Amino acid sequence: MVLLLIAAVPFLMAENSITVDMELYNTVLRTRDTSLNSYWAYTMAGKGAISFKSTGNKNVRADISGDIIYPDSSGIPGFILQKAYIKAKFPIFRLTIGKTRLGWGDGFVFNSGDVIFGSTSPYINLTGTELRSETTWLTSVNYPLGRFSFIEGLIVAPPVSAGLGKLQESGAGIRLYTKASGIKIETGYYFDGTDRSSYDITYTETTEALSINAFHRPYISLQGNFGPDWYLNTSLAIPEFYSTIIEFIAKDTFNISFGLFHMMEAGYDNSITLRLESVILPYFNWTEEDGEAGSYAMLIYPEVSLGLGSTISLSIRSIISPIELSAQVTTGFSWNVFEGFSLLTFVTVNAGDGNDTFAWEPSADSVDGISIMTGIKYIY
Amino acid sequence: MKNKIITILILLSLLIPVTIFAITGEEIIRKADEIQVFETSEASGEFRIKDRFGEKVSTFNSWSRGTEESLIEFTSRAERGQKVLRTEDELYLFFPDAEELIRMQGSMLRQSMLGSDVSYEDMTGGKDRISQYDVVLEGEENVNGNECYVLIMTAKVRTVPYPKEKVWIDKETFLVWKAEYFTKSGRLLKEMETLEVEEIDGRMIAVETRISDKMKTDTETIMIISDLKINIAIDDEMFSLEELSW
Repeated sequence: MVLLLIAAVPFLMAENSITVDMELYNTVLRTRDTSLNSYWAYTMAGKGAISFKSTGNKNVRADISGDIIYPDSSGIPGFILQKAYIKAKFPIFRLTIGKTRLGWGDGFVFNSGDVIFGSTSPYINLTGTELRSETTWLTSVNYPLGRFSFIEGLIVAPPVSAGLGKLQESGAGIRLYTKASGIKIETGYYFDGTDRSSYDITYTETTEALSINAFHRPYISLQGNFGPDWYLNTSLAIPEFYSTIIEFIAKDTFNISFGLFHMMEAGYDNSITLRLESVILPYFNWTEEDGEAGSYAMLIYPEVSLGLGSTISLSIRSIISPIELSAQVTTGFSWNVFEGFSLLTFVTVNAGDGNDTFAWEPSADSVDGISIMTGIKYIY
Repeated sequence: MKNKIITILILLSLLIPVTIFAITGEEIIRKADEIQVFETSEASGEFRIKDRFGEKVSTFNSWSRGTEESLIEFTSRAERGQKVLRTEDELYLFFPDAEELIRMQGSMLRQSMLGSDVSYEDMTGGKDRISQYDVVLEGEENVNGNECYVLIMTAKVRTVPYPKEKVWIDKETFLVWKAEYFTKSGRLLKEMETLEVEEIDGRMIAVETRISDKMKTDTETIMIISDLKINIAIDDEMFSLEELSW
């Protein structure tokens, strides 16, 4: 709360802009009751994001924003503080303190270079405009090295679970962003002091009871163009302390993501956007096995969007798990009718067996593999 | 015979100045392009996109240097804080909500800005119409009291948005007062009209233009440039990743 008040100071002292981004949906989905009988359910869903951004001082920027989420079964609306940060531009470096996001690496859905938040999980909502938007409390310093290069260092506060987080549970990292021979080169290292279990540091082959509290996470990210734009990222997580299992844990967490992106005109006033991404964890499962949903060696993300004029957009997005032959497919329709106001429709369908990553009737979940959302979005 | 030769020589000599000083279609286009290229520029602007559902307004600030560098910051509510840095052969996008810096090359450079009829390439004046079009000077016409050259431009490459253009260029100022954009088969797609001009640094610059979509009813885009300053001192750091991601 004290931090929030501190962060609020610029808004009390200076000019600011307030933006509200509200999305409200009618949702129909196939679900099951306690006797596992399927039925069609109807619910409202949505959120309102409110952002207060400072505008008065060209050398200081600040933003407080949060999401108010449609009430769950308790009837109480949820609130998530998304951002609360202050940035200051000094003559030779830039300082950021607060809750925000840093985008390391390249990738819309899969990004092995995102060693801070992890962007390789298959479980992602494909209806959003930003698919990876997790934020954390951090302090970062950005030091320019010429016009197209910089070094960035950061410290991430430990998670607050019970009492204050321990110093050794903090995160810390540094990255270099530069360009050579027409290729963007980004490389960095992140010390992850939390013992969280994110998708890209899952390990599969040990029989020992594991207690690994921290990981060293180096990464490399490249981007270029050969007609389409391409990007390639790779990273791994090496356990902090030496043990006999260190080698295969680091091996298991080795992951590579790559992507292709291209936009082209499609007849009069229309455009087609094509994106293809994939993430590979080479030492994960390459064959289908029961109980291994979500931990296969390869995932693919194809996306095709058709822009009709400047107001209508049709899209089809999918996460495909090719090893077990399951997929989640989301088709979307968006019509920007009035200024800031859009009509939206999404249909999401899972195609896969009961134990697959994307199952039509998942064995461990009461929600079946289809949902239809139609609603509105208004930014004001 | 001698008199006949002299008469022919006299007639030819009368034609010489015409041949030497007649301006060609390519020269007219080159001059029209030149008045749109500045050493540096700084401006605010807006697109007013009108259709049968009303009007959508997008606003932006822009800075440019030469034909190859520009920085655009969107200031309208829906896109506020998004920035585009364009260099000779690449485009950097910054999305403040995701704190994401994206580098792009190739096809993105030709995409329209905010769904308008202006591409990122157009914003910097980096286009080279002579290498992209065959130009024919068709004649002269008066447009709203301004004497203009009328030119037909036929695309030589497939990377331009319109295969054929007809443009009306002021004979004195080389300002484009009007343009029509056609399909390859000659069907009229869009029409551009200059509504307001300003003399800045000795050049006539279009500060308000209207683009009408002839394939749709009741739609038009008005582009307004305000506070245009040209050939001013702009810090080198303006066209850097530091400024982009700020």
